[in-house]
Amino acid sequence: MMSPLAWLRRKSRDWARRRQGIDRDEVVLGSRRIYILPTAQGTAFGAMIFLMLLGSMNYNNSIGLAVTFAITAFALVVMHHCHRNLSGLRLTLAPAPDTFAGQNALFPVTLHNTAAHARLDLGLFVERRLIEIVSLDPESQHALLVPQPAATRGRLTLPRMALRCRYPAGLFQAWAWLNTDLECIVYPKPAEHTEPPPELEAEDGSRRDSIEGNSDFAGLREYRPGDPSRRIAWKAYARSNVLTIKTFSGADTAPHRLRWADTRGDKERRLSVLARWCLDAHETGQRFALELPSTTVATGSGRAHLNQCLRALALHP
Amino acid sequence: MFARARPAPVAENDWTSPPLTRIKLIWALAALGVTTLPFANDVPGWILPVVFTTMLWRYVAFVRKAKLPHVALRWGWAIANFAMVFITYRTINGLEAGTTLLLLMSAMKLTETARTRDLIVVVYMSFFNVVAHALFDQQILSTAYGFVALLVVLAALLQVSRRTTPARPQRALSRAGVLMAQALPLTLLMFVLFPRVPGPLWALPTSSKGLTGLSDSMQAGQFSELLASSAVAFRVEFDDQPPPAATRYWRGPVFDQIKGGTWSASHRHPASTRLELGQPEIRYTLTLEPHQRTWVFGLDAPSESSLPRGLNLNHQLQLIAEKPVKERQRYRLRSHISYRSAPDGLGAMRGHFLDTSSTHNPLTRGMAQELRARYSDDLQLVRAVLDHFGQDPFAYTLRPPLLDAESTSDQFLFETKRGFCEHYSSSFALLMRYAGIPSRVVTGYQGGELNPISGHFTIRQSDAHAWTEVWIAGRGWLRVDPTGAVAPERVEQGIRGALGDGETLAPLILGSGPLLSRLRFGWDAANAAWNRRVLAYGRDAQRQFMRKLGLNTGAGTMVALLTSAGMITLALLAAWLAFGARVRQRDPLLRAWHRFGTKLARIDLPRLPHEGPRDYARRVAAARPDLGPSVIAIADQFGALRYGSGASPRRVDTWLSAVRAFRPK
Repeated sequence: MMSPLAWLRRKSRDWARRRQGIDRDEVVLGSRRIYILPTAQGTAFGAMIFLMLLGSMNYNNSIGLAVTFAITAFALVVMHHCHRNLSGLRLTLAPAPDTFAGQNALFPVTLHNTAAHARLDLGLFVERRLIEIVSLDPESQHALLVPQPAATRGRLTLPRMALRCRYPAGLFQAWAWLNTDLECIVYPKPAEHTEPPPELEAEDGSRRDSIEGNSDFAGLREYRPGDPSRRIAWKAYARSNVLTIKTFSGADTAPHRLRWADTRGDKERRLSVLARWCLDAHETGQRFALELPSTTVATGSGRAHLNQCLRALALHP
Repeated sequence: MFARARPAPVAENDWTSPPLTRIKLIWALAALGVTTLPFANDVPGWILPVVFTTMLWRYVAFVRKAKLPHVALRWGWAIANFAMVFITYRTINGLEAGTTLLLLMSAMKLTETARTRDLIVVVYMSFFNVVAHALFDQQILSTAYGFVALLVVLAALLQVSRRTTPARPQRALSRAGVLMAQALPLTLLMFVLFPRVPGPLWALPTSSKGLTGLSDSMQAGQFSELLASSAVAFRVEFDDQPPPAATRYWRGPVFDQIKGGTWSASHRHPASTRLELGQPEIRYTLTLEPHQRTWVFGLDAPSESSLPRGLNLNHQLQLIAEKPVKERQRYRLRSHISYRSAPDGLGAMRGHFLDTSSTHNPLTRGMAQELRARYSDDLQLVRAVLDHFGQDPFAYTLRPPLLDAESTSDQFLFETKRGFCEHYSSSFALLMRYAGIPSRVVTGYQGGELNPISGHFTIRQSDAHAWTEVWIAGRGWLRVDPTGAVAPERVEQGIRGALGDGETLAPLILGSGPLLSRLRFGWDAANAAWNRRVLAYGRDAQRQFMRKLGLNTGAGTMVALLTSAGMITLALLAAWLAFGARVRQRDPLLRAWHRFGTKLARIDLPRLPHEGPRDYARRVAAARPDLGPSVIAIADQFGALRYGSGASPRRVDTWLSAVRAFRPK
């Protein structure tokens, strides 16, 4: 059973979504999509004003009334400033680069302030999770990455984002919803301990490690998630504090066929193993093909080919 | 994918409850301090040290990261505070006790400020302090201070509410100032149009503070404190020519019975008293400072027909309000300085006005009998006594020798012979009674000072005066001011004229030098205007204002007017804010280029943010071949003028006029 508050929240979300549609690429926050309500602090402020009004009226005290009215007018002016803090803000959104399950999908969001005034204390939220508090100078912009945990492989959609602000006095909260359909392809998490692909053993009967010995050392490059930890250049890391990976030119080896049929375990385990094989094959510079029950990726090499294979694994039904 | 740094992690409750920082604490303490300070004279002396010590302790505790006191200790502290207030005031209700409690509670709150939310509570209490102090003092300087304090409190609210690092102090203050300035029109609207209620919503607790003013009985020597006070008693504006100083007697309590040396008012009154009023009628407005008493100081004989509601005139020509005057009041009054009161006789009251049964002044009685034997005519007898006061070495002084309570008159008339209005009027009235002439003592104010800047008269406590009235057959009650016989300057020039060498009044009264007196009058005029226009702006003034606008005076009309005018004000503010948000393009070239884009946007070909001039022009040309040549020419020239080197003023002008002439349809 859903709590009434949660129900209301869902209803209002659906309503706002129907009303605003889906936001793509660029959003300018117009008045129609900025909502504003008093905060708890603002409600207390209202109660305080009411008490002051009663007191001043009781004593027929003109100055007491003047102070009360000044504070009331201040609160109303503050409401407009709070609204203006969001109004006209431009956001550019982009899909997140592909990532592996267990890591964060990072959606690039840029806030552009094209106005002549600063915009202060803007809170960027994903649903109710605060991502970052941003302040923008006049005519400036701020780029940030919105992390969204990618738990499982497949397509990850960024949940509804919200920009909230309580500036300047915390009495009101203005907010705008961003209903995006931004996606991220989440690759299966590469298996950590696995047997090498059967073709390798079949060809020369030796362990994988020796292959590296046979290959020519080609140089170092920056570490990328998914790289096998055993190829990290630890000595170089100790020197420069930058994680690098030893690469080998293994063009001499024959192309591999990484096959679903050669893996064991449940579906997710098999996809994990295949992801590991793809990565390893790519690191050693191997040309490889991927064969899944649903689809096949022809033999190839290079980064684009790797991504194509990993996507096939990610989207495997 | 890790190439870009991940954003710094933000704690979840940074949003609903941002962390308490030193700067925020300082601002909350500043707000509390600045609003507590003006109470120094209004609450018991130990309160302010308690509040400020707690503030200091809170700051040191924060810097040293000390633990806040245990709950039990805080409760004990709270109960002790309540007890102290109760012991001081015998109540925890009422303005003074309530304010004292408010101040102590703000100090208590400081002992549990662990989160930003607690600081907000401290800031809110500071707001209350500002309003509470207005209940104590609404004068110009105090109000000015109140609004400066309000600015600090608002700045503190802005600073404490920040979700990121607070701004620099001057920035926060100027920010609060800007917001206050933008709120000003709405504030004024509300002040003028918010419907006022006629009276208190609930009973007002009486103030325990002693106010200087006349009292309900008179003993020789009692006035001296009053005469040294420069506090304003009331102000008067005459509609026409003011009457001369010697006739400006403002009647306060009238005393018709004497017991021992003390004159007081009895509650006896005749069935009716005939009052004949002569011309001219003097119309004036009296603004009375609150004195917690019911009497109102009318000029001589107020005409009963013109009395405002809530005021009555008694048989001794004294104006009495139905309720004690607890706030500043304005009265429209008419008076007559030529009149006859009870000319036909006093009837049954005659004996009452002759009663000397509880006095013991044998010397005075003897003198009266002697005079009675010599003069059969009452008026001649009166004149003889006044002559006696004028000739014998009687002197007017504010520092008379002390007198016994029993035989005051004997002592004064035959021994000391030095005193002021009280001594003279009291002895004279008693002398008259001994001589068989009905008499009474009238206290009130005499004279008043004209403010040449605003034209009103200011009557101060130092203008307090006492005179006598005797009843003369066929003439009725007649004013006799024995002080005038001793020191005529007192009546004609006011109290300053009557003082001997070395006698001074409070510094404010004593104007010396033209500049100082101009300043003094200017300040007095400002205060009078402040009282009349701002402080006295209540239900009546509000209705008068509505009538002047030709509107209904009902509360509904005011609320409707306030709502609509308020909404218009806020809409104007919103429009102004939106206008201010626009980036004003200084470069005429860019401005014209934007105008060019706007013109094309009207025919549904707006420039996209990422498009350069060239791409845009090609796209427009493709969509509308008829506009193509001119659009491409304008775009290319724009590129050349803006980014090329040959931008001569003439070429810029030519291009600008081309853009102006471009009208796509």
